[in-house]
Amino acid sequence: MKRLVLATTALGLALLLMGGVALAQETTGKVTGRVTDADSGAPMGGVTVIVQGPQGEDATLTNDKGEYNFTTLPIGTYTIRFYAANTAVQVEQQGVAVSVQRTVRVNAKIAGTAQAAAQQTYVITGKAPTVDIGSARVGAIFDDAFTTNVPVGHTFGDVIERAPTAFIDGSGNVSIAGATGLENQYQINGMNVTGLRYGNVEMGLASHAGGTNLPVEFMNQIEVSSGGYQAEYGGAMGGVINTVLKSGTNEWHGTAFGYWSPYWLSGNPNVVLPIGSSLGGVRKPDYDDSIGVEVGGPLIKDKLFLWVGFAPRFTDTHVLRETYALQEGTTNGMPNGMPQLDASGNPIVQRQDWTARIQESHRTYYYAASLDWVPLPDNRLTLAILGSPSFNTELKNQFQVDPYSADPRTAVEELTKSNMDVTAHWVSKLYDRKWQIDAMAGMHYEYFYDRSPYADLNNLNQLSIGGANLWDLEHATGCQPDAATGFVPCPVAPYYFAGGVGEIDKSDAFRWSAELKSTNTFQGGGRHELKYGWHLDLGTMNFSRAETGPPGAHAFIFLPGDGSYSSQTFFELPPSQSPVQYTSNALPQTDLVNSPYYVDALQAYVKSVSNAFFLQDSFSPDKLRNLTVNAGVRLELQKMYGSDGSGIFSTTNWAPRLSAVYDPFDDGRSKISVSYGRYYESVPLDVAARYFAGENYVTAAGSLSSCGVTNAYNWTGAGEFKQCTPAGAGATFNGEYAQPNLTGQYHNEIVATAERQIAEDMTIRLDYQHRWLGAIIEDGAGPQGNNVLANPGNVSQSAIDAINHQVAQAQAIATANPTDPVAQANYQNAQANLSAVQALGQAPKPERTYDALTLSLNKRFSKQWFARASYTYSRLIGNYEGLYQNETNYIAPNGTNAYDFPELYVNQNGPLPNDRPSLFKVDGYFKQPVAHGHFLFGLSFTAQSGQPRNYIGNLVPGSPYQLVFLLPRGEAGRTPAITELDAKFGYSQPIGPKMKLEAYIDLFNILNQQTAIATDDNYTYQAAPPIVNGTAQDLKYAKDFSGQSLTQNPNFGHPLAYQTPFNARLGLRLTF
Amino acid sequence: MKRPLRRFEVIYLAAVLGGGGACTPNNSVKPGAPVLIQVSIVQAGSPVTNIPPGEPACTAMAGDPCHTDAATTMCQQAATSVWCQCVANPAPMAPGPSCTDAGAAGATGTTDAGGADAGAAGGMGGAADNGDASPPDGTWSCNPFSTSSSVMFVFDRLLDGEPLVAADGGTTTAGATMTAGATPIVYTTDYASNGSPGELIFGSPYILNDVRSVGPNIFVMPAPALPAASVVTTALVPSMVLAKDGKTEFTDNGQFGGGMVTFATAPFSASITPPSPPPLPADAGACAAPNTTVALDATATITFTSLVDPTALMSAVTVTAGGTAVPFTLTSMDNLNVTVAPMDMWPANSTITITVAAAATDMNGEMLGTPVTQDFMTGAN
Repeated sequence: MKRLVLATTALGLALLLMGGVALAQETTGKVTGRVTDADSGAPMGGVTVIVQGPQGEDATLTNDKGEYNFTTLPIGTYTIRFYAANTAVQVEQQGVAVSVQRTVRVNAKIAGTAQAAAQQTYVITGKAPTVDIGSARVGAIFDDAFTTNVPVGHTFGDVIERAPTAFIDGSGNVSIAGATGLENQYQINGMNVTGLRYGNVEMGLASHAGGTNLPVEFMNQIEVSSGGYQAEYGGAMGGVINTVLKSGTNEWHGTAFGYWSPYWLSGNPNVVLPIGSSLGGVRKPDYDDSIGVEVGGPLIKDKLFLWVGFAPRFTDTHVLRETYALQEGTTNGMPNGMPQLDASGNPIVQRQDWTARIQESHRTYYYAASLDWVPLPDNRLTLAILGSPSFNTELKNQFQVDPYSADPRTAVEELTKSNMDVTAHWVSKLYDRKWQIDAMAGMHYEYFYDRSPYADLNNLNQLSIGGANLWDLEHATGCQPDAATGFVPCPVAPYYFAGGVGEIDKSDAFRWSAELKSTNTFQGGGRHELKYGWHLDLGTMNFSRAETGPPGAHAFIFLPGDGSYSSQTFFELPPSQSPVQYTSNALPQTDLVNSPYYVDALQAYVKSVSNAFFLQDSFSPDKLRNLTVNAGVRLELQKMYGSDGSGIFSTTNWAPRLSAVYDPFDDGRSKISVSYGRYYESVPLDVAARYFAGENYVTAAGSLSSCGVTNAYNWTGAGEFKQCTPAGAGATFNGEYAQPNLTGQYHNEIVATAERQIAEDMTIRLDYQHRWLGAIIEDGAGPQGNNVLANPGNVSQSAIDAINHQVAQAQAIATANPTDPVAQANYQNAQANLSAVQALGQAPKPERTYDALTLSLNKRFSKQWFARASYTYSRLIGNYEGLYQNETNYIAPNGTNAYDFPELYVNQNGPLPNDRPSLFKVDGYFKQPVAHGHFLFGLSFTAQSGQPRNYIGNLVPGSPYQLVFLLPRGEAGRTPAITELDAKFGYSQPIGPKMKLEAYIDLFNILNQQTAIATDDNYTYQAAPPIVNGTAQDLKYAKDFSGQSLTQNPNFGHPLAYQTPFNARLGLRLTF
Repeated sequence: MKRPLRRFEVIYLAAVLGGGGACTPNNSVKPGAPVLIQVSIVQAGSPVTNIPPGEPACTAMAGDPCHTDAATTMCQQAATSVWCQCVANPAPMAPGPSCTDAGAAGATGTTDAGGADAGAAGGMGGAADNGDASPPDGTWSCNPFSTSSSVMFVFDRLLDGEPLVAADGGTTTAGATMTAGATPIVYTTDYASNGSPGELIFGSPYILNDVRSVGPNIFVMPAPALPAASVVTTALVPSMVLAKDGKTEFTDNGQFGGGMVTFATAPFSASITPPSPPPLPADAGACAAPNTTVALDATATITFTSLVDPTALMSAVTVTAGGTAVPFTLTSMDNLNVTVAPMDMWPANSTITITVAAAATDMNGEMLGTPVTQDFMTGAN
């Protein structure tokens, strides 16, 4: 009886003390297990199970099958104690690691003979299992220990590339399992912080806004789900990155930290020198420093917890633009006006003293705070606020503008970005914890303002000058043309940017989120965990877009060097007019250059409303408790609105998910799992802001003489185009048409996993992942030249029927109003839309098939060391890259150039840019006690296949945007394989009972590998059709559209970027 | 001893790694003989005319030498095997509206003088089309081709390019012959590997109009032009038109005469289009007399059926005003349409006469034979 009282008291005490057991699903994990009699093996019901973790304790009783479950445990390391009724025996399992959304099984056996013994504690000496036996998810988890001891980057965005199948792609974001870097979803404390416009996260990519990123010092845990996740999650075709902020505990803890990356601890980077141009450049670091502090603890013990963090970061770099003059050749000892070539046929260049230094600076002020309130047991409210305002001066890098071929002042942008997120999350458990309710509300905010730091350049038109040379433009030393032969030593190819800074973007974007979820556990032929819920994301963006120039004369000017000019200006049509009146030449498009149509800036206010509903059940049958079947379905409804408030498109996406997880030995130390799921993209706002609200521009062209300008070099950008008489004009109208009954962009996935704990602290795992595309959303042009947003290669008959209905309606109106030009125009427009959608429907079906086999080894920290290694063999084959187009460096989700014209479809099928067959990673650290402190050695190594290379031509001569695959994708081989070895050395010394000081140095790219990571794939700047199924030997017979043989770009195949050279970081960390 | 894989394991691995996997696509050229899928006659400044597969013969009827329908652009004359282009004769012109009708269309009928019907000048009529020699309206003419014609042979797959290029990288005649009976023709061949017959490559209306981007092709071009009034035969040389294996000769599947095409070229002729008088102002009224005089800087156009050298033509063209020579210039972008412009200004209030002498020759030295003359009136200063 005494023992029973003891157990009951322990349970009651635990219930009173229970603290952080009710956090939201997104930030917590589960522990399950079974208690049996060690002698008979019979299940033991009524055993009190207490978990003790960072925010207090929780307790439960085993049922008549001896089973217990803990859900929504805050992540951390726990001790689990089992108190058997009618006995004083206590069995204890220490070191149980609870991770985000993972289920670990901890079984216990209580010896029958011991039940009569005196009160005694048995400690299970074996380590707790770490295998997630609750789901078929694949991915990786990075905890505070990992980010502290392994040499990794500054932010969680930098860390996630350490997951198997992940690497940073050309978008500057992390590609996961074959998707582009724009296809992930990022969550912080359950709030979707993904970039509203592009679907990215802020990772230092120039000229673009992004989602919220925070320093690793703020994060408790970073979970990367690469696939196989359940119906509760959606809106991503790459991975879901679920991060959890640190939070306060019952003791005050914190760290003060700082690091310093000085320029003198950096290697000398390779210079990028495009052959055929006289400009090269190199970016060099000055310093990268940060200081910060994070601290958390109880405001009211067991009731109210606070955590705050603040970490400003200061980074300065500079770009040296250097001049390389061509050497003039000779004939019979006399200059011949031709470049001197080397043995390879490349022009010989000589470095000149003419250089320009472009200073870059980045100032980011990271902050975050969270407040946990536990008013009653089983009820918790979590509030969080976080943000990352940043102020930057940097080289502009939009639409592949080569910063090294631009005027140094023109190439620089002043960029202000400010992200802020606020969340509130309430969790309650009811009815003996069999019903849990999660309610969440939050706001994500992005501010973006991109302009020139030089006031005068905001008031000049940007000039793109073709055929320019540095002597005429800048009188660069050593670049004076040879007066006798006309030889120009310093040409700038293909264009040179001067005048104003170009496009200025400014935007305010919000995401308002709300979520309500219910979790019910019950018995019905087994144990069920039924979860259902609703999630709302309301995204808005107020977007202003302008070319620079004097008021009333904003424009982008192209001066090709042949005595002509073209101007690009924004305009707006009055409501009484239709674009077709202009495209049908009923009204002259040259009118659009001037008042009343011309506008300095285009304003767009677009929004997206996404509602998601899900229903899922995790079921473990009574007779097979080591099997878990997860079945669910997710319904995602997204509606996008244009600037006029009308709907652009709406999608209704059904995403089934099914998985089975089997623990063959019922010990939580192994599993076999398989899953199937369909995953839809959440379409970012960029496509609405540009194609449905902000792409009203007109290009007018004529001769320079019509402008009163005799020489392109005399054009200053002060609005000269207003003096011109254009010979013609072509307009691009916003208000692109969207196909009715649009199918959401999605892929299907199958994941199979086998995992086994092969040693006490080590598991080995084999994952197979297969993904294949279903439908995509992309824009493209129809036979009449109008652009539509559609499902290329996959237009449904219902969509065609709906458009036919629209055509019939427009025809009826046009017939009834034969003299109404708008009615006639709308009828023509409807017909053109039908033709365009039909044409896109006949386009090749989009394909992106990913297959990966990953073998991984995980050794958790014990016996002084930790290690994680993975090797992935994968292939990514298809004709559609995703939301980012690598060849053009084009960040345009659902609006890339892939389906712009039929001419671009040919030769597209092959290894995609993110096809990296081999990917090997090792991360680890070793801690050696020395005196009172300890020595730390951390290591990170990556080896990766190179990127597929191509033979590219242009659709329009000299235009690098619409690219033709002259030969099948991947025909040019690959860039070299990349390896990088990073290391960390540190020493930690206690300086008080609860305080220690650690000094460390991170060494990145120790071997100073500077392998080319990107090459110039533009084989020719001429417009040429593709060679179907051709090989390199067929190139010499290829002709451009005028029948001329192709001239090879001399820089073809040469590096455009190299690995970052060796660099180091010195750091101090005070932990208390 | 290693345990061999069991059968089901092998099947499973094969299914996982191969069956549904991301296999590298087969992007190699399909084996077998290249198939000749299109033969086209390409005339400068005119739409491409494709020879219909299967050698359709012209169905001549009385007064209708190329009885056909709108869907057929070419047919082959049964007796001679010569291809000609079927051109519909213009429908009878409706009488112009009377001056009591609304609108200002009255000028149309009154100013359509001289060479206004020059569009049919390339027809059977020989010299300047006077309208009387054309077949009856509603019928079809079987017209010869311009002397600027080239022949294009298009294949369904890539060819072995090596036999089709000159060893020194210069011009070549490899792969095809071009003859005109006993008359030697200077010509070149050019193989283009790019283009796609199955796609709307640049020949689509979307962006550009490149006639050669419809697929791998051999282009046979006269240098500079075909002889006028001749029967020209162009034929592929099978031993040089090979598959990528370097051995397999092409096939036409019996559709294109084994890769040979014979067609006639038009006689050398010229027509002169005078400058058009300026239109009447919009408020001139329906019964106002149309303008009959042209501006002093207006230009006329001489259209030839064979390529000419404008510089060499200067001695064969005269421009006079009342018998007095007037200084002028000749320019041409395509060597077929030659623009006649005053050196300064035409004399005011004068009748300007442009004459192309019978001794005018095309680039092959063919003489015009008959002079061509055209007058127009200039207005006041």
